[in-house]
Amino acid sequence: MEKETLIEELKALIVKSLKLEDVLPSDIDPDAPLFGSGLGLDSIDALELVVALEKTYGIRIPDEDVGKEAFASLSALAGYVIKNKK
Amino acid sequence: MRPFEHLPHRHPFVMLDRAEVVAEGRHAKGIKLITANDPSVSPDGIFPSAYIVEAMAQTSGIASGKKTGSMLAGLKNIEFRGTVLTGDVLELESVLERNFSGLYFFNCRASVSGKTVAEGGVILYFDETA
Repeated sequence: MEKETLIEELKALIVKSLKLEDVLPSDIDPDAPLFGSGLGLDSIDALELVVALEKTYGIRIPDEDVGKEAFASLSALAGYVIKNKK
Repeated sequence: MRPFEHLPHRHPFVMLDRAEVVAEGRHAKGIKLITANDPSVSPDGIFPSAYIVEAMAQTSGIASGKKTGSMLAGLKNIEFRGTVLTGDVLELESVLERNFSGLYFFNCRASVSGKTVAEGGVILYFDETA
């Protein structure tokens, strides 16, 4: 799967699985941080996102250190999924 | 298992009468007998939905296998499908789906006589740095 296509898929997954009522998939900047200053997700969102990603793509985000890398931005997340997808 | 020996909660907020660990650290079952004398039961004999969720969270605490207290950090897609009344035996089941960064996500089900009355995800926080 091409990275650009996956980024669009991930935008929709994030909005749907985290029930982001005031955010449209098109609002998400692929290069902005997902947590804190960017999209503003929190630690509970991280857990829910881990569950959704593992169910959808069969990837594994084993711990917080890997999570920090994978969740650095949507673009980083797409790269992680492509690299680790089963 | 006597739940209060494995939970920080005390009367009248212990929402389980008995519990059983199915798989250490990830799966537990519990029961609560709904009686008219219970202070959590409303005058018209209904066991409130919020307390069903608390019973699911306490079952999750036992499923975690952790002896430290936890905080109920979140609920995910909780659906209520029935009313729990005095005389009912409320059965709880909780299975750990995933933990990440001190947060534990459990899939929970509450039922009476085999019929689901509530189900959904419970998120508990454990301070793993303590």
